[in-house]
Amino acid sequence: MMLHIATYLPAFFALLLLGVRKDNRGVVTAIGVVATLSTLAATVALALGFERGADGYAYASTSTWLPTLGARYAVAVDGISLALLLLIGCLAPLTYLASTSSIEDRFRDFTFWFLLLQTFMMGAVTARDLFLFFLWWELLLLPMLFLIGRWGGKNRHYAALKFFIYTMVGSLPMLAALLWLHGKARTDLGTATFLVSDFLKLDLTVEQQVWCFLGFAASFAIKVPLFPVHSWLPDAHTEAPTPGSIALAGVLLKLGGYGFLVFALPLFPVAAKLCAPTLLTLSVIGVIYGALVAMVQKDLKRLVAFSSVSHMGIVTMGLFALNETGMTGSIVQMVAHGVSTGALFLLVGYLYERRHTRLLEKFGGVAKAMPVFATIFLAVAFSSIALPGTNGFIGEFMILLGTWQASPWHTVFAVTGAILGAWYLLGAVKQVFFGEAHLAENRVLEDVTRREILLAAPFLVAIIWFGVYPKPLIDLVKPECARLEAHVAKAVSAHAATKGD
Amino acid sequence: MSDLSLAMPVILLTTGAIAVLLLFSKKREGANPYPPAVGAATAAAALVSLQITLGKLTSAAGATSSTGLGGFVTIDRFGVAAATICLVATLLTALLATDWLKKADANHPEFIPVLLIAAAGMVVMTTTGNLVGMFLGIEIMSVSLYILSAFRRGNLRSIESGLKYFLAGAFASGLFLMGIALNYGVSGGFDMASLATASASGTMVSKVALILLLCGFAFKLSLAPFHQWAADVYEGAPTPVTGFMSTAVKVAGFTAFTRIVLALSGTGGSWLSGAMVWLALLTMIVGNLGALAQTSVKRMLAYSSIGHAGYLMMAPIVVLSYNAASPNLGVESRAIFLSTDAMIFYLAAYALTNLLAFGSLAFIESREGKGLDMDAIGGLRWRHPVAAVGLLIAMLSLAGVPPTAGFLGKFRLFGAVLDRASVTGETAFYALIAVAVLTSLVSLGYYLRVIMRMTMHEPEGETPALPPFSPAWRVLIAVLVVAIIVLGFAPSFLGGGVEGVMSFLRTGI
Repeated sequence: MMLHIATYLPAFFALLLLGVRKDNRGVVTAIGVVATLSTLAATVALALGFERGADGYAYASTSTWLPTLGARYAVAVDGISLALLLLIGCLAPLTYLASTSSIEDRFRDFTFWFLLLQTFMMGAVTARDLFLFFLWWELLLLPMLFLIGRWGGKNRHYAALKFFIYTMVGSLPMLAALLWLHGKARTDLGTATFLVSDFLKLDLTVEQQVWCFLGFAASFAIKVPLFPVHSWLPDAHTEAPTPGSIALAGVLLKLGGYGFLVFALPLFPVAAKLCAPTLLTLSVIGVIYGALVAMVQKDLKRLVAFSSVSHMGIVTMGLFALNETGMTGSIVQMVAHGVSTGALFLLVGYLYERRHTRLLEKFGGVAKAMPVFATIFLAVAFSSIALPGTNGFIGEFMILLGTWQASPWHTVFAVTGAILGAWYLLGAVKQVFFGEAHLAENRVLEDVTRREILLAAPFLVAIIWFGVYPKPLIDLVKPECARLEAHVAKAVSAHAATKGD
Repeated sequence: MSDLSLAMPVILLTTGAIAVLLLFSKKREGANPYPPAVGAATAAAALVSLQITLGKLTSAAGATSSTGLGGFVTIDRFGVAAATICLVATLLTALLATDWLKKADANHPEFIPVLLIAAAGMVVMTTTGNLVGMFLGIEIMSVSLYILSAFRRGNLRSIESGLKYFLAGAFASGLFLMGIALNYGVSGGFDMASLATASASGTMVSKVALILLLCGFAFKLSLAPFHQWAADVYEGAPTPVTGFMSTAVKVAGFTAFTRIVLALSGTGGSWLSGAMVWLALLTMIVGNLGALAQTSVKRMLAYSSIGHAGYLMMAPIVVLSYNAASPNLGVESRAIFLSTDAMIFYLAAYALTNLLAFGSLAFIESREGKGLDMDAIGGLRWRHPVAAVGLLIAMLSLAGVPPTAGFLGKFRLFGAVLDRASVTGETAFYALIAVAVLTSLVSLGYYLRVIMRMTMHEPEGETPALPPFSPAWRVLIAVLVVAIIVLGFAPSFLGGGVEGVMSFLRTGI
């Protein structure tokens, strides 16, 4: 019940908004703040009461939904879901508060889509029925389409369309794969079902596994995004308004990794093992390529966007190491990236609100006028480049450790990418904050206000906390990752045994 | 079951038509609000009588269908589900047209009677197991639609539309009739069983008969390459008529065609499926690529409806793949059940959606007095929020994006095909799905263009003050929007209603 409440709270408030007058900004803001804060409270309550049942899930509930189709409303929370739920819950109020200053027009509509987006995201990370998951997965596109297309930058229509079509390109192969599985289950198991737990019982040949895996992977790889299907991300990130960028970087990209972990890997373990070398290579290319492209960006936000491509490459590397360390690391890294990149977008937004430009060449010597801001930015940048003591370090280190066991060569190249990461981000910091303030505007900038500091503070706390004491997060997701490693290993060895006969 | 109760829906519809003609045919200044109301009431009455007949049927133990009137009328769940959708479409068209009928060049009293006669034709088409009955139904429906297409007598485009539709339609009817005649020559009968006999005989003449029947339906359903007439006809016809044509005709046509395919499945008629697969593939590609190139919203929707016909064509193909010699007949009959079920659901979703789209467009057209090109809907969100919400939901549903009926329709239809693919492993099904998926992606391009035009391009300059919405029209659009979302999404754990709606549409084959 608590889970349903948490999931539908934002949507409930969104519907409430429809009764509010368009221009009544005060009431709209109040509803938005209450909605996001109460959802945060609900997710925290979920976390406090989290206790795995015998099957490894908490808050599991299944009810009939569309019996003829075999779709069930099946939800449950495991460690991975909870980590993402908490991330969503915590980011939402911060993002929303940030938007109260950065979004000027049609604020009611904005809040409406923002709250719906939150419900859809929470639905997606708790669904245990693939029909339900697919529904949320597709629904997610709508709010993002409008957030980018209506409140975005100059090129917003192009970016919104590209985002939408790219994601749909990915999700239709997944739809085909899951409908095929559904048909197979009807024949083999004799029931109409979309439950993941039922699909796990299917006995698929390697060829069937590979095709289905590719269908699912198409969808998740685009969302992550994996090189070479990443090109929607820089546009979407750059054109989206600050809250949209934070939601994208903070949560939406993570859903790709989540999909791999919770659906693609367990359902098609042999195929995953077979495809892992290719996916590792693509990830490493993404890490290095993203970093190299970020290095030559002139726009600060675009630079952060490409750094996302690079960082998410590291995340998928950890996933396809297919061992506990790597997978745990990639979840930790997903959360860390959500926090640090979310914070970067927030800070870039501050800068943009003051100067109405994000071009690196228009800055320089900003630290003199905005010392507090520069300090915060530097701390977040350190987290983003995975300096020890920040949250970015923990995940990246575990991933590299895990990948080393699976494939040392990939690790070697990935480390290069990490070094490049330090290069471009610190280079940007240098260009923006230090040196001579050659433009007069940069000398008279007003430093961050108390409100802005308060908004950034939770991010800083998270960066340091998870950098120094990441144990709760690791403990939370470790059982799932251990189980997944065992599951994959068992399926692969079973497959090898049949091939030997 | 008595012959009278089997014929009741058609009797009611024709009586309603005659009554409107007798009572309201005197031309008068200004709009007459009564004919649409009477028309809607008549359609509703026919709907009720149809359901009562079905209710009697299902309460009789073991019965799944009832045939009467000399074998002309066959009532079963499949036909009644389709006829229900047609009648709902008629009802909605009558109501949505109320506003449009006030226009000077449309203010003729015969609109509603002709609409009701067309509906009677559709009911005949969907509830008959006899080829001659089917032909009669098609003709009654088509002739009425030729008239409706050319309804704006002073408008050249409208007249052109009616004439083109007439010529293409007459040709198709000829093909269909020839097919019936040849089939009679082989089997000596007009009912569905005669089709099975002829098909089982495997003679050349019986094959030609089937091909002619297929071509006839391909014309009526605007399947490529028999689709050339569709775009011009849809564009030229009055907008409410286009809405009706693009929905109800497809429902009746696909139902009749599937009935023929049902008779053929398992009798060695599967050689036909090769041709049907090519038709379906070509239709999906032509419809969706064609729509991408259009600048007029109405023309775009015409091509989009061709594309949807291509998707729908997959259902009869699955039905035809039924293999009577298979050791596992349970799996085989599942193919028939799932595909017809999905087809009916898809048709219902598509009918509501397209009516919503054309209802919104008709409103915009009548308020702004301009054509319906992409510029006409620019910034619609600010000028007509209600119409914009209507079009938004309609576009999402056509594109198959949740939470809409179109999404669930596509999900079920593609699911039926993939279910079959997972059983037989035939390449044809994988090819169909691959093309269906790819063309669905293409379709996003043009549906999204409408959405973005409406919601993201702010109007330039000042927007003219527009006459207010009639409350009835608002309610109608709201009902359609809610219906589409409920059909697509609202889960039964919130109230148990949705499965009820769906089981209402179950085909029971």
